Amino acid sequence: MKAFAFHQLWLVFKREYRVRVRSKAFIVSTILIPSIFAFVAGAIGIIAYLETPQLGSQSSRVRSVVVIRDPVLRGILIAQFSGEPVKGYDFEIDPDDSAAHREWLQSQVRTSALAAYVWLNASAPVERAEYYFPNSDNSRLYSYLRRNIGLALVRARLVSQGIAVPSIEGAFRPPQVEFHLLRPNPARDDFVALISIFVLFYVLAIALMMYGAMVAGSIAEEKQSRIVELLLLSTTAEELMGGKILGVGCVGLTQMGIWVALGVFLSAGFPRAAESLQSIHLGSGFAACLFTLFVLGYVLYSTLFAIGGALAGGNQASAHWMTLPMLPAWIPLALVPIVSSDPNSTFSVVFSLIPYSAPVLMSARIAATAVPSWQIALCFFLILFTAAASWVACARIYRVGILMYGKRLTIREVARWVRYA
Amino acid sequence: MSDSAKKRNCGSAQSAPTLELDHVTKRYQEVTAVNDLSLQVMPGEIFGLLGPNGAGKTSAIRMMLGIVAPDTGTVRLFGGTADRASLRHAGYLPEERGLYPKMSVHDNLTFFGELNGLDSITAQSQSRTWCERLDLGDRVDDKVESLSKGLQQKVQFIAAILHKPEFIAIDEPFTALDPVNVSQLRELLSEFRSEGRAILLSTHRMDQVEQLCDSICLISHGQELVQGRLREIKSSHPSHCVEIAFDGSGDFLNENPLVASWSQKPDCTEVRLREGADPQELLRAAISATLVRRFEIKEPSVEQIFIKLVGKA
Repeated sequence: MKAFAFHQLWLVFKREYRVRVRSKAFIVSTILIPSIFAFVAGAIGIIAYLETPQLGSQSSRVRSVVVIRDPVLRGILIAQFSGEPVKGYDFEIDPDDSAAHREWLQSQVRTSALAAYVWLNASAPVERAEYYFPNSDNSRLYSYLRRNIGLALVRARLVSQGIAVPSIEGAFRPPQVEFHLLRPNPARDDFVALISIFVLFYVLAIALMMYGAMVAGSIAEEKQSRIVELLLLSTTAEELMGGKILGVGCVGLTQMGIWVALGVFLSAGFPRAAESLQSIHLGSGFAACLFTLFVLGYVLYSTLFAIGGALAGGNQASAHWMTLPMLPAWIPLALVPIVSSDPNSTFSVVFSLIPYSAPVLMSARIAATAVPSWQIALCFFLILFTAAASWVACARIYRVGILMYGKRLTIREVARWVRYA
Repeated sequence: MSDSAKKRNCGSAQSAPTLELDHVTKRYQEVTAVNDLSLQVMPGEIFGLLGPNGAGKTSAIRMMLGIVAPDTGTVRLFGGTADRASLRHAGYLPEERGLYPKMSVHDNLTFFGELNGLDSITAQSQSRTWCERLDLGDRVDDKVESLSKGLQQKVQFIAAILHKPEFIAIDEPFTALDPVNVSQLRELLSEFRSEGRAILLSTHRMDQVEQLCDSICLISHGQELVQGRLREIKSSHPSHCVEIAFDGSGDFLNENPLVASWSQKPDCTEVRLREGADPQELLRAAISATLVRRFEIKEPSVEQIFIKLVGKA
């Protein structure tokens, strides 16, 4: 029986790190991934820009007509629409409520020459409004028209009841609202929280998928090429697995460090971007928590990926083992909206303490609310404990799995390895 | 320990065995890969571990090197358990070659040298020295994937012996090598033997076994069929083949009850005897009918013994 030797782990780590950082794949992916992100973000921006009707371009403006004969209500509506203009939309208030004009408006909407028209009955107070659209995909326009016409009609009713206009406007003015957080959020404000959640989740997701797959691929390759037999002469399965996970992990940190440095460097050329970056001030405790969760999460998940690689290892019949580690990585991401919307619910607290969902969900909670210190400490402990236990169990599976060639493996068989290996 | 292993140890020099397997068994679920195998490899000996495909040779080697643990029985390397300290003095050339294809020859060798206990500087200098010696000096900085199979095989061999192991397990070392390199490798193995190192050789090349091995163990279905000094094994298996060189007619061979078949060679006649036939009787028949210039009872080759025993098993 070989005792654990850090020197052997260091040698495996060193080789893994050196080879990967010097590889063409590393250089290409370091350049390609941010380029793809920039391309996708740019494409989304361009599409959004093209889809929004632009001011000054008459042909692309969305025209709607509101038909109302009553001059008082007409005046109120004009004031209402001009007080809350929408980019790219034109609203006309039309007094002609003849049947022929209505027929003409109908034909205009049918042919989409007009986005909508609203028919208000002639006599005040108006109790009925009819909205006409060419089809059902105009929810944004409908909401806007409904809200503004509704407010205008309420104003008109109040005027008809003899209430003075300044009093009406005073009644409609919303009160000044102030938020006072008695347990302040470690993230300084909503923008910082939003940015940190976004960056963390995507970095975590990319790191887990990319570097986890790299660990699995590396192990599978060594198993397939049988180098592993030679390695096991002088290293233990635990040293080999540990060296790989840490080596690939450091490759990941190096790559992300390059991206951050590149981002800072490039932002120097874009003063507005640099200004935005400088406005993000994460508290040191908050940043440390996120970093710790990220590192612990990586170790926990990549251990699972190592098992996937050891079990699959170029064997088609066992390829499904490679997909299993993806589940604990993706399920918490699906729960992020629930946890972010109510970070102090029992559901959020419990799931942010379960080790396999904690790295993502505790990060989401920390970004969204002030999490009690004992919960953060417990979370770290549980992840560490589970990572250590997984490491032992996984090393047992790994030890047997890497020497098992061309055989279809069942869950029962793998469970037996954990017990007896 | 089996009787054959004990007997062989008594017959050889009275030094402690480098490697000792004592009633070792390894099962993988329903399959018994190695069944109650005992053997000893002595210092300064080349020991052939032979057997058909799937006989359990690789499983036995993995147990010898502590890669897998036996279910029952014990493995002793340099008199103790196969732990990290003893395995530092062991080298392994696996049948399935394992090198990192994208790394250079030098980096591969340095990495394996360091893993096997050499410091970085020694590993680097040793790798260059051995590459020079095995005519790989100009390929040291090339990636392994750019080398031919034969050259990769040589690099793999260097990786196994770079740290000067006292025990070397080599599985099919001659695969992909041309005759010149086979000869070079054979000379190296002989050199290691003369230095007192113990070598366990697993191969299907019976001609190499004949030339190199001092002792052999033939296994089939995980069990020992025969084990001992190669010479003793050969002499204990009666031959049914003789070579006769004579002047005169070979009519005495026709319809002879001793003869199963015969064939004419350029310088002699090769005769296969029937089961139980006495070669001396044939010699008498030959003398009475011809002028016998040479009569030789041919020893069975290792290949013949292999086929005979494995066929029966």
